[in-house]
Amino acid sequence: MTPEDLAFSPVAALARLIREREISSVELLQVYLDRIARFDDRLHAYVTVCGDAALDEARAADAAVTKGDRLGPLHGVPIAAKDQFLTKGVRTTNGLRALAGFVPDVDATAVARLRGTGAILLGKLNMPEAGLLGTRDWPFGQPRNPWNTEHDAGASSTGPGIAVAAGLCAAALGEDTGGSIRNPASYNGVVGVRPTWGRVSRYGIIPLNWSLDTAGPMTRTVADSALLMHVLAGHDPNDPFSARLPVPDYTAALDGRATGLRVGVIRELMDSTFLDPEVRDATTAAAAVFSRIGANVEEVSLPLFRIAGVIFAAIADSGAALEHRHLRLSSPDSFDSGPRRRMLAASLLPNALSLRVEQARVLIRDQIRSAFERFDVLLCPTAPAPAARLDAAPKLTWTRSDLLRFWERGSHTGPFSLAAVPAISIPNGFSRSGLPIGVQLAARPFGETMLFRAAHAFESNLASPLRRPPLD
Amino acid sequence: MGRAAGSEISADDLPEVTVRVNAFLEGLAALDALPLDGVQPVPAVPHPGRLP
Repeated sequence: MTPEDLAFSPVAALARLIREREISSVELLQVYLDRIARFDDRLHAYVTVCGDAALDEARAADAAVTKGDRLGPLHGVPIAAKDQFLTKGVRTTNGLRALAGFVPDVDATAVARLRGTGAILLGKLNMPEAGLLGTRDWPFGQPRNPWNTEHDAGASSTGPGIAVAAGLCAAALGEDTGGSIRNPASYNGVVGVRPTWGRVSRYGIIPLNWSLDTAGPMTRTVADSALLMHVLAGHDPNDPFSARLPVPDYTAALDGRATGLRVGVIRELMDSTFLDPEVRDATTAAAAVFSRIGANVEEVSLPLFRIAGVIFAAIADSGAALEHRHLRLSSPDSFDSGPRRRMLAASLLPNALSLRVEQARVLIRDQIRSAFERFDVLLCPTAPAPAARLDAAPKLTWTRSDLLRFWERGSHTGPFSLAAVPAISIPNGFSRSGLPIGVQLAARPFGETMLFRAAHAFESNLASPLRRPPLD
Repeated sequence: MGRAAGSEISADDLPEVTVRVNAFLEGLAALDALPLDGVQPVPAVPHPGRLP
């Protein structure tokens, strides 16, 4: 197996190779460190690479294999985390210059769970300031899409999307508030999962919005995401809103079949004037794949999706303005102008209006959840268009039309966040210009097993072969 | 409004902040058409039956 083949191998296969001593964790780590050295100057996926510390962890992992210790499912596998997760002894910036020297003394629970099953922390991954899209001057380098470096890589789990797609780690830990896992998953051609809110502990995630933030896996296959979710999910006393529910074996449901699955295609997102024709065609083709493999596919109307983008933005931006109030007021220039102006505007919304926005969130939640009385999964494009060129982004001052387009993008992923249901973005082919397109599935609360089953069936039956980005 | 919210808005930031606030007000005018009367604005605990 070549180093490149190793770099792109599934997580479960890598863990097996290490367990059976066909490769060592140190050798595998070196494959990723070599690729980071070779490609990341251009891609800017990483904020911090844990070279020496990761090598120490990998040596310890190899020693445990030699000793015949009991090994976890991720033993010796190098995984990286978005820089929004606290990591003990490893700096955590949240994308902010102001936190460039911050070294936490605890791990976020999600990080601790990965490490607890043997994963090696390879590094911390790039993100826009405080997770807010619209960052103009990225403090830790402008991230670039590995499929075409002139294009955007999505946000805000930007580095995770790039690193997984480019084979710069085996898998990544992302964070999703309103699409921050699913959008970069779609733009970079990888799998990204937003779990049910409450399924994975939020402890140690630097918050953007407490009632929306979730941690989830970003991987190259659905099976890898199911494997990581099994590790991540579960109650945590440090997060009072983490659910006390048993964690299913998500990988057990992956049989590649969808017979009898009820799939609802969301009409309002297929009719949108903002929807790119190639994305519409790809999504229609995805629905046809489900029909071909025995699912019952129907259109479903969810009218509140038309206005969900602005409702999501009002709630998310207000939460961010609150979470970062101290730094915003004490040191406003420590923020890039984009996030600063987003938070300033949201902080000016009258309280009476904010309460009405929360009322609208209840209606959106009820509309989505009632759809699950008829459907097992809902299907729609993850994003209205493939990744835009970096030079097409709004420059110094956003206009009304920039905002309308931005909120439209949020209307694809934000409603599922508002409804606190799980959703996944899966690769769904490529545009004619070679950029990935993603399709999104959502399921009822705590319906991750159904979500993985449907996603795996689609992935197993998609005609488009797996590809690797053209980095050389 | 900025001072009331505890924020100083610089002259550089003011034009874009104004555009953003006006866009919010325009976009959220759609709320007028929704049946919000009597809806309790408490979505922050989405799974009350399944939480500690």
